[in-house]
Amino acid sequence: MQRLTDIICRFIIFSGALISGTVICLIFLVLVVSAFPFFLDNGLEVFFQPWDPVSGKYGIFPMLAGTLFISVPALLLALPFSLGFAVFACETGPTVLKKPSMAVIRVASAIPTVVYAFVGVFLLIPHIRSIAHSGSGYSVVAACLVLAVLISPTMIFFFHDSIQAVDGSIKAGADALGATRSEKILFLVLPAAGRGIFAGIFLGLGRAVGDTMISLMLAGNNVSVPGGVWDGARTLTAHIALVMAADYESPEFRSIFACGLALYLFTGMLSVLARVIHGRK
Amino acid sequence: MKRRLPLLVDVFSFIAFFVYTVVFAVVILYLIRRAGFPFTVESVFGSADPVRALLLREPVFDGLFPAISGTFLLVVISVGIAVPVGIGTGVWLSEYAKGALYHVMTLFLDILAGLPSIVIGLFGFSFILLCHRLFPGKGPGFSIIVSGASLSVLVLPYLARSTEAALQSLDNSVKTAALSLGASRMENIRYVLLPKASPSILSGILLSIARCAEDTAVIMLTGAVASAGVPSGVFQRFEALPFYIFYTSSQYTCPSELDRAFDASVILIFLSTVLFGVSLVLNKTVSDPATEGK
Amino acid sequence: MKIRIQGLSFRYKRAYVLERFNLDMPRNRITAVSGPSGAGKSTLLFCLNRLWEGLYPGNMEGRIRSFLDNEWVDIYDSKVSLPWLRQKTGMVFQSPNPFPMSIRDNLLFPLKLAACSHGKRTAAEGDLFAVLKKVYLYDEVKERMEAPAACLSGGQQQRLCIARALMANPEILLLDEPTSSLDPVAEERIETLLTDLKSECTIVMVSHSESQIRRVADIRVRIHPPRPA
Repeated sequence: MQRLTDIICRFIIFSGALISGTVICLIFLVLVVSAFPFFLDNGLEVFFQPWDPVSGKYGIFPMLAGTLFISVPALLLALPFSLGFAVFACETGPTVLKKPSMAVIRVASAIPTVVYAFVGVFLLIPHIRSIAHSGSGYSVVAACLVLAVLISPTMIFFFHDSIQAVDGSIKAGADALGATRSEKILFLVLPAAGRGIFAGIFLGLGRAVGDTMISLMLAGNNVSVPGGVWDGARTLTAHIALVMAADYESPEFRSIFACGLALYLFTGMLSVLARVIHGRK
Repeated sequence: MKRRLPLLVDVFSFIAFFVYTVVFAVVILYLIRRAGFPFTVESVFGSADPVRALLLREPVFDGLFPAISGTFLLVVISVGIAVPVGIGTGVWLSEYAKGALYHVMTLFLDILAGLPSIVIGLFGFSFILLCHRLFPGKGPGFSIIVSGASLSVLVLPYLARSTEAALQSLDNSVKTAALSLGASRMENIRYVLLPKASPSILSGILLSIARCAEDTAVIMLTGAVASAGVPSGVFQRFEALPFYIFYTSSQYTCPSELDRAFDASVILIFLSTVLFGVSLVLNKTVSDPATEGK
Repeated sequence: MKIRIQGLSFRYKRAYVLERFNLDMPRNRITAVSGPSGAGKSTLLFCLNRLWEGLYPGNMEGRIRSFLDNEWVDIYDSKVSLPWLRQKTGMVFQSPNPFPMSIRDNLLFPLKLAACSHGKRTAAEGDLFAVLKKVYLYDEVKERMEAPAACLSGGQQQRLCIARALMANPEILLLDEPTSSLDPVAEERIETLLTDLKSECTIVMVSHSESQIRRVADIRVRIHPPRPA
């Protein structure tokens, strides 16, 4: 009996590892194989062409632009505020507020992205519509703002941990030299936490690029490169969700695999970079 | 200006705290105010009789019960698959993997962890299409089992890494005590390491449950639909809470449907908060100095 | 005199760490403080630059006056700016705590601080080398100023921390068992440099070692632990 459970355990452990390893390769293979006909028909310039089914052009460039114009500003917006919040929770906040502030972030991280998008539809879109004086309100701005809120808790946790990890002895050293709290944070603590902060940025960017629901529900889904912040846009992720119901043999349909591949390659690259910077033990 | 810069950092941190607190408070309070108490009989069962609905004798058309049961079954399937595979992988990483193999596997897991959920959904979707093509009429099709399996791929890297971390963070004296008495590596894992690390591993599982319950992108592509009733089998399409929220936002036919979507939102947040909270408590008991033998 | 301590009592939680302590420390001399563990030696140092106020909750009574910027100052007066006080009263800790930066950046760090730079934003190489020479570190690091400070040995790191403290131009230097984590050779180097330094500043040093005190101290103070509460 002992031997049997032993064998079962061994089996679970090794097959678990094997399955994990194969799955990741399988995903890549499936994407490449499915996207292959698309690239065969349309060539690699599909990454740069506009989407114009009428004239037979199935370029996914507008979706690339959409992803870029929504995720990057969201990250740039969320970054300073997340860093500021983490600094507050670790250093500058009054002691009674430090723990509760992180509790607020914990609850915020329990909110699923679909709920953020849902609230955005009813709370934010009407306001954007009135500010922009035109359009439906579904816009790059709406998606950016909500996406920035979505990725903040993740980044805040990361920044918070990195800042906490800075050794107390060197903080005492800075105090002993006559540094004010602000000087200590700006010149010592933040640079010392630098690696962790960088990794947090990559994490935030990955999350922003990979999110589907916010851009699907808030960005408007026009298939064109957004001309301004009040315009609609479609991201790679939203495109996949929208087109999946199309006819299976159409090039339109096949384009979603090209989008998937682009996403895989980009986020894969981010993960590798984050590993290199953070240094895997 | 340079002189003022450090002070700006200090002041800005307060501004950041204020901004986020206001934003999150607005979101949560708006949802709570709009939804009220979400666990009412009316929002869950609609006009159907609760007892008969629970016994699956009466279909529920205007309540959240089908979505709740769909989400529940989804979580059971996905966590049921992910836990043995993920913990197995984590144990392998912590105890058996060495050198290049370790680095390759952790690289794979890192990449998998960074993948957008919709790409994983696309993978499930491709799997369905492939089966459809190779075994017409006999493949699983769009179903809760494919969704569950895809979700398990989603949480797999997290479970593996948190299990590995839980095992690695054990005290050295704990890791070697049994071995010094003559236990085999497997015995050490089964009788000492896993039990000792189980609070952390459990907290990882709870977090994975939360992740599976709230994901929309994966299930959208693999079988979630607007109206399917309580899942009648694992090869059937199904409803789920996050998907309900999604499609209601764009096409709701009556105000009560919208109300139910708000209820669903609050239910999901409540579920996640409880799971996160318990998980936090579990982690705290692990790092409690009283339990560490030094 | 440089420092006058009158009736200093320091309470941490319920227990008194120091009780009605009085001491005068003369200018440009080395005052060594010794005593058993827990007697309050480190606490005394932290009282002199008020660093305990950032580190742990305690209760202080009594008066400490230091002669800084050519006048006597009650260092606990509410008008006293903490960064100013700490620029005037440098500190070196028991374990070396170089910043995670290059050697050069460690030395230049005080110049970034409003309290220390006195208008000077950068230091000429010559200034850095002068300080390094004072701590007998110049020959060992002159070729590798960009190297991370963590690369240095324990003794070198400690000397770097002293150099860093000196870059702030303090009038008083506080050292908390500066050589306790170092080997005898490193210890001797530091003792030599402290003896050299007293012409420039007043030194207060906590030490566990009788022989060190005999070698180095001009004044020696023995603290006894307060009677149990």
